[in-house]
Amino acid sequence: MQIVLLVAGGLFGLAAVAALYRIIRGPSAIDRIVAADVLNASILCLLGVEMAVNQHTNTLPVLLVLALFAIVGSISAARFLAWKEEG
Amino acid sequence: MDWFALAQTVAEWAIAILAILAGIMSLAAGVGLIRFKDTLTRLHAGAKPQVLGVLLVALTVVIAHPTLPVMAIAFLVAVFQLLTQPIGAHMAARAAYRSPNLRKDLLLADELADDVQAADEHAGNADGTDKDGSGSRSAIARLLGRF
Repeated sequence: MQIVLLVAGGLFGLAAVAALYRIIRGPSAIDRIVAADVLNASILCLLGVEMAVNQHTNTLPVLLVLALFAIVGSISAARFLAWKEEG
Repeated sequence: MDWFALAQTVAEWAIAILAILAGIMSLAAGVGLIRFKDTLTRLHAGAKPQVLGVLLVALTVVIAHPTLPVMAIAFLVAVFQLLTQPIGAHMAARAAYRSPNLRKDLLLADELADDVQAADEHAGNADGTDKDGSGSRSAIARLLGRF
C-alpha cells in the first residue's frame, strides 16, 4: 500500500508543480486563479489518499474546509477582475 | 474461505486503483495547465480533476473507513465540491471572456458574441454600426452582469 501512496503522491506532486509553474508564469491573473484551484484540488486529493492508505481519519476536517473555502478566493478574485475591466 | 480477509484485499485493491486514477486525472490537469494556449482551454483542463479527482478520493476514504461519520463528511466534501467548482469555473470563464488576453482566433464558435450582437440590435443600434465600440461593450456588460 505504501507503493500506492508513493505513486499517487508523485502524480499529485507533479500536478502541483505544474500548477505552481502556471501560477508563477501567468500570464494573466485569471490563469493564476485557475492554477491555484488546481493546486488546492491536488493538496485535497493527496490528503485524502494518504488518509485512506494509512488507515486514519485525522485530516478529514481539513478536507472539508479545503473543499468549502477554495471557492471564496477564486470567486472574489474573478469578480474583482470583472469590475476592474468594466471601468 | 476467509471472507473478511477477502473483503479487505478487495478494498485495498479498490483504494489503490481509485487513488492512482485520481492521480492520473490530476496529472492530466497539470499537463493541460502547462501545455494549453489560452485561459479558456486551461480552465477546461483544470476544472475536471477538481470534481472527478475529488469524488474518487472521497470514495477511497469511504472504502478505507466504511463508518457513518466518515461517510457523512466525505459526502459533504463531494457535495461542496460539486456545488462550488462549477460556480468558480463559471466566474473565471466570465472574467476570461472579457479580458484582453482572449484568443478569439482559437475559438471555433462564439455564441456569446452572437448574443451580444443581438442585444445591440435590440437596444436600437439596428444598423449594427458602432462608432467607438462602447455600444457592444455595454451590451457585454448588460449580458454578463445578469450572470
